[in-house]
Amino acid sequence: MDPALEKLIRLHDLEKMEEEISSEEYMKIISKLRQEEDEEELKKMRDEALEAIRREKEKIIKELNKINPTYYNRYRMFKNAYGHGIAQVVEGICLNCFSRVPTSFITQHGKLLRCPNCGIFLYVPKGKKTEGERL
Amino acid sequence: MLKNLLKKEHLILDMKAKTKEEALKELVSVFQLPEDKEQIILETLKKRESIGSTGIGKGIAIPHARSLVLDKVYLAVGRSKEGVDFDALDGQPVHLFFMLCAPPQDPNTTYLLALGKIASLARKLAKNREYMNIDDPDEFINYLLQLEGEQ
Ligand SMILES: [Zn+2]
Repeated sequence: MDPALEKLIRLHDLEKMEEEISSEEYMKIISKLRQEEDEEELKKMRDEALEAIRREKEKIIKELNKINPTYYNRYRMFKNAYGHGIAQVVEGICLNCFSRVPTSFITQHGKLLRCPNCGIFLYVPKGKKTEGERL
Repeated sequence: MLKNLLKKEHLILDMKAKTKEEALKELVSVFQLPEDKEQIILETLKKRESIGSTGIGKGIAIPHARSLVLDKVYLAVGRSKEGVDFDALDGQPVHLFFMLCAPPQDPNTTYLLALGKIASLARKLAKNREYMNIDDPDEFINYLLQLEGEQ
């Protein structure tokens, strides 16, 4: 897998984790799981987790900037516009804009690709060969 | 609700793992994902554990994460008779795992609902260790579903 693509996915997953840990709904579940009802204790745990994620994100962004400084800026721009900086392609469809991507993308899985329609970074999973490719 | 997620092929009643890393790997492997996806989801799960163990104590752990590389919600259940050192909150080895993995987009909030259900189920399971004595997969799943149904 392209190292920049791998870092963008890791960054995405970390930001999902960050979002999750910041949500009240998730923390209610964690409080139930841990049988911890002390609000202060839970808040402390959440703050520590968010701080650990922030440090991890910084590391990835640094690595990403070493590869190409435009990637992170673009990722952030897409994230601000769409709520996420990278999208998955499922059955040939970009899950950000729901338009079909070229069938040639499927054979290029593992490369850093962008949606020709909305521009977002794409993760194209290794897929079965499509009709178009066989022709 | 867990009925739709609990699958016999995602159940391991005799986990071989001894360590946290091995346990995560063994559980993820039941989903039979392509290697690149498996690597990424494992990495995300490990990161999640590093910011706070999901070993909630009393022998139960609930590793969970969302990842870009998934397109549906997956649940694996694993039991280890010997127990796994999972850095649980009470320091005790973990014998029962619920691993929940989900895509980033979750319009029906299946993931959070499932996590909530598993949290309630875990509390019931922790009360007695009946799950240690069931060796038939169908019976094991039925036992979990029956407990889930009890209010
Ligand atoms: Zn698109």
